[in-house]
Amino acid sequence: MLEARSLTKIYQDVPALDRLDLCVPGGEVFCLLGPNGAGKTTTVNLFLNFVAPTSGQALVCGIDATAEPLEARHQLAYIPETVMLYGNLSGLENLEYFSTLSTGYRRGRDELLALLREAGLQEEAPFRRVSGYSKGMRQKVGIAIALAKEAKALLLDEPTSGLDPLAANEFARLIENLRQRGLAVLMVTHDLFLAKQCGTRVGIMQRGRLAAVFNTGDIDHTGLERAYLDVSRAAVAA
Amino acid sequence: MTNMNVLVAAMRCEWRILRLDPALWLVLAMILGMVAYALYNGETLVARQAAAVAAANTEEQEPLAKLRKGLADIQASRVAPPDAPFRDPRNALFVGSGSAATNVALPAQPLAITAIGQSDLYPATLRVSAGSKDSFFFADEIANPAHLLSGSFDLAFVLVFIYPLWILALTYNLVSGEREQGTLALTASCPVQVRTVMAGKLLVRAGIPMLVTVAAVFAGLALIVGGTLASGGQALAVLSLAIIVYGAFWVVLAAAVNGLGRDSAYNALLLVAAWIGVLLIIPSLVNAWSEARYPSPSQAEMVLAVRAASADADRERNAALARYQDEHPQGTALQRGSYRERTLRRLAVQLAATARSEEIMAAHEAQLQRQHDLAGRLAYASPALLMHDALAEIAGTGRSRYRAFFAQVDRFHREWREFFISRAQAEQMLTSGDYSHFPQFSFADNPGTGILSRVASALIGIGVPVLLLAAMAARGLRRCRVVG
Amino acid sequence: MSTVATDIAACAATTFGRWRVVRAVAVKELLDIYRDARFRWLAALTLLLMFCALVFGVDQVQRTDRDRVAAAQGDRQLWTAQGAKDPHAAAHFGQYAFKPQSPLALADPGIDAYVGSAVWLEAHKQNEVQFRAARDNPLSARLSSLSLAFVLQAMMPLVAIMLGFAAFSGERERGTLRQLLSLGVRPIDLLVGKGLAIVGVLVAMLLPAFIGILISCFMFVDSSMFSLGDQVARLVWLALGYVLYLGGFAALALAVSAFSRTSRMSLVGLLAFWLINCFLVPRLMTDVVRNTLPLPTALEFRQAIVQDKKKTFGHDESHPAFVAFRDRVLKQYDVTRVEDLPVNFRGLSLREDDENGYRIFDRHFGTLQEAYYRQDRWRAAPGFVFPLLAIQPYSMGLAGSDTRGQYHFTRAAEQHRRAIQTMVSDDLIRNGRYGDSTYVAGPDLWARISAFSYRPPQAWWALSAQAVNLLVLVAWWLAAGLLAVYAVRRLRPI
Repeated sequence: MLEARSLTKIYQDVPALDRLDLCVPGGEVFCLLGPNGAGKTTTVNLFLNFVAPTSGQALVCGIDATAEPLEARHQLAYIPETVMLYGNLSGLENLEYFSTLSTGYRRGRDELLALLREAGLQEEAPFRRVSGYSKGMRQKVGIAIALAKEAKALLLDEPTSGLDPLAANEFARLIENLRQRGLAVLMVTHDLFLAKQCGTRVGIMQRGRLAAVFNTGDIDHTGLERAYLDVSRAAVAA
Repeated sequence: MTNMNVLVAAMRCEWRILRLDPALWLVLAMILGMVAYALYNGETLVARQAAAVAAANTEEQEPLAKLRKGLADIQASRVAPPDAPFRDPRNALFVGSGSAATNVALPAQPLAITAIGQSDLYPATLRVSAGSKDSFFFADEIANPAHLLSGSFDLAFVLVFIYPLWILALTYNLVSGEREQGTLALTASCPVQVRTVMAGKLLVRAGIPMLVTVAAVFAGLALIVGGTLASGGQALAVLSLAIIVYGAFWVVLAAAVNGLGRDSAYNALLLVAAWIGVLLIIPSLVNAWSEARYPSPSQAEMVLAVRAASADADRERNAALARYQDEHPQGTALQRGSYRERTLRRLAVQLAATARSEEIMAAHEAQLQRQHDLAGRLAYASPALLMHDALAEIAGTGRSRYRAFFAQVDRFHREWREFFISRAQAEQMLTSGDYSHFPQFSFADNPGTGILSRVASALIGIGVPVLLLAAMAARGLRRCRVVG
Repeated sequence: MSTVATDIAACAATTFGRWRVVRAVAVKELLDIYRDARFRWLAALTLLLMFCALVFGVDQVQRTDRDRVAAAQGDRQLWTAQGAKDPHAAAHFGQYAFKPQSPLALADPGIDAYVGSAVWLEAHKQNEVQFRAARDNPLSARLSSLSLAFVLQAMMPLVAIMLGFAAFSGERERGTLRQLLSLGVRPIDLLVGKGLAIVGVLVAMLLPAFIGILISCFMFVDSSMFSLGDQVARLVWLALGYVLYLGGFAALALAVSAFSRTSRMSLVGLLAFWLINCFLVPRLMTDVVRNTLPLPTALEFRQAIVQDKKKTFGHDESHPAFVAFRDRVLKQYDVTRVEDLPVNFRGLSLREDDENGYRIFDRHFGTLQEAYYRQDRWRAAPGFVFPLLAIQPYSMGLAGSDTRGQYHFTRAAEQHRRAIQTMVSDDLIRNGRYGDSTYVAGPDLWARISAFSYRPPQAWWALSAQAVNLLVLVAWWLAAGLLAVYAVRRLRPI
């Protein structure tokens, strides 16, 4: 479960995030939409404690990410826009390394391969060096890391930007898979289609605030698009 | 998860990455090549010095044999005693001050090939005579001065100058590189301390060049020095320790710079600047300042004083002779140009010169010691200076061993002088018995304490900044920026 | 920047505008350099080091000079106050010659600390110059010593590298290179403009150093010994050498920057070259020439002289050469006994022995010096690739602090020794009576024998000896320049 309690981050007098209250329970995919600079990535960074909040709390399964960052990270998995891995190592070796760092023990090779298969990385790909991987393949390694970690919550930062539609679709299915396992997923994205497709709830941010929240069941694509444009235009007008 | 496991995992990962990096293999090839060449080079220089000592000792025997034979001939009345005192093998003053003068040398230690130190500035042997000390002390070995200026490619040079660069080349972008390729964020999203992971990576990246350097030095020394290396076991252990401690300084410096959280280019520039500061700028300022504060005394002044003393003694002798001739108009015991008068005149002049030169050289020595003490204290500003000194001390070519040598030569010189001058003063002739009891010089190394304590203080001098920088690095890495 | 860009565009259109393009590029570069905080730090540090080197240098040169003048006066006093004595005994007492330090040792102390500064001029033998200052210094002096030459030879190339390493690669990374080339600017004009800017900055940094030396020369030079005009001439040639040396570095930095894909690669490559040039190659070449062209040991050298001297008679009146000489002299004067000679035979034999000795000393010291020169020539040979090997001897040579300058001094001192020998022997020949050991000469003879006064060589003498190294520096500069031209010809905008 991910929870933000009047989470605030101010960069040099400019509020990037303004008293955000948000709760993503297990089994839910919460998609954060919003124009650039609305505070989406800051939210993710605060949950990871990559930056410290000015005030408020970011809780991961009830653990304060600022006070106990290591405990919080135990519960978290993180997949950035481009999953950066060690180019000279194979996908399998990268997974082995990061899963060891995450869990504290080394899994067997077969187990790791199974995880990579589950994440959609097929055949000989796990044995090739990551420097030759496509963006989608790197993301699959990222998912495998999340699986290996047995994380309770997943943070995704624009995971599908730059993916072709086929790969994006495959990715959406993987997310759905994770959701069904009971993970709380917070996904930052610009892709309204993806948000509607795999989100359970969608929040639209502007100027560090959550301007609107919808259940994806209650709204269709056009409605979502209109709501997004309304919020963004209001921001520009202001 | 325990920190130990994280450390081990990070190290395994780093080794996998590093072994595919051509930079590592380039660095390792350079370590092996340069260490091998430097040791070979040191061996050539030490062998040349050893040959010079052997040649000098051989050369010394010939005039001595001639003297013994001459003495035997005179004693057996086969030839008449010569009328010129400087040709007389029985004349203690002239034998002790000239033809029988003996060579003294500082024996090379097993690790001498690791650092040329001061050994290229001093002659391989000093020819100690009964004359004043300045008459033999300032002898020089022939050397192209431009070569002395540039210095040698010895192991000390490789360790002080190049070894830090190998370490820096592999560690300068430890954190910044990970940030730039994006893996730092992923690492930081794991429930481990980034600091621990980075420590593991640092251990691999810095440990490999450090250990390979130590191993290369061991292997090279074992190959070149071979059997005698066993007697230098303690020195070898101290050498390894020095390599590790000095390496650690550069490693923690790189870590601390990485802890500032800037990009790789910035780190590289800052570290190169630090290298230039520690190796070039601080040492040159230390030298300039200590020389300006306590200038080296003028040797010309000493030369003049000794010459003046000799001239005065000569004049006094003239006056004494004139008095004698006034008082003994018929006397024949002392005549200008007589055997006895020439001997006594030489004795008087030599004693005056000795007294004066000892006095001045002692004052000069004290002045130089102040300069060296100041330079020694200021050396703590630069680990490179400390390391450079320590390596020479370990090799037995440093200032403190030469000081000990010169002190012992000084004692020996007194002993030698006493032997011959006392006989000359008593106007005793040398006998063949005396010839077999000429004083002998053998250098005794200060057992342990002196050199080791000097190296220990240098190592502590490097170790303290290591601790400070390590604390700084730990602080910096804890607060380290993860995102760009 | 945008005004500069339009400026360039406007200029490029006209044929006569090329110079203006170059000028615009140079002006923009200068502005860029001026606004770069890193450069300001580096320049300030370098200038500070130059200042320190100058101050410590002036202090050292003055102290050395004071000591030398005092010593020379003291020695003269001892010599003239000898009282009445046998002239040959006075020759044995001898004089000392003290080497004056060249005023430009301020710019480059060269080998001064590693050669002796005083030589005893005594009867019968040519002594070596004694008292190497380096023996007195702490070991740390071997690590690095502060001098203007150190700043100019080791630090200034770094400044050139810092100014040039990103000249093209940085523009490419920022995308401004595409912009520039799309305006129709010729790459070669860019190169010339950037080159002029960098060389301009380097010259501006050299100026204070050289002006400092010039002022120090005017203030402190002993003009009775050194001509000021000569020092200025040396300084001008010295400056030329350093401009070539640093200009080559600037061109190399531009070339590497144009070749490199990233600024980082360019910087790493240039720093590696700097390190090899300034630290590795000098030591490497030192060891190579020392091992391949070995010098005799001092013992071998002395023994060889002793061996040759055995053929001369010295004071040994039973030596066959002595007997032969005596017979020749007797025949020449047509007498049968030395007592009957109209001149003093002891004086004649001393002079004869001295003259035999001169030939031996000239040969041995000359051979040794030739061996030094041979080593120096080979050591400087790779100078067109690693220019430190050429600038180092060139700089020492013109500063008058090299092996050649030292040899000039030892030759002069030896000539003076010989003049002393000749005068005392002549006095003995004219005034002594054979077999009379009581003949003494008085203070008027000592006063007639002048003190050693050294005339240091002229600038052209130093320059002609360094002509090869100057050519090597020109070759380095040209090679680096051509490399830069070649590199920008194949400049990739992206």
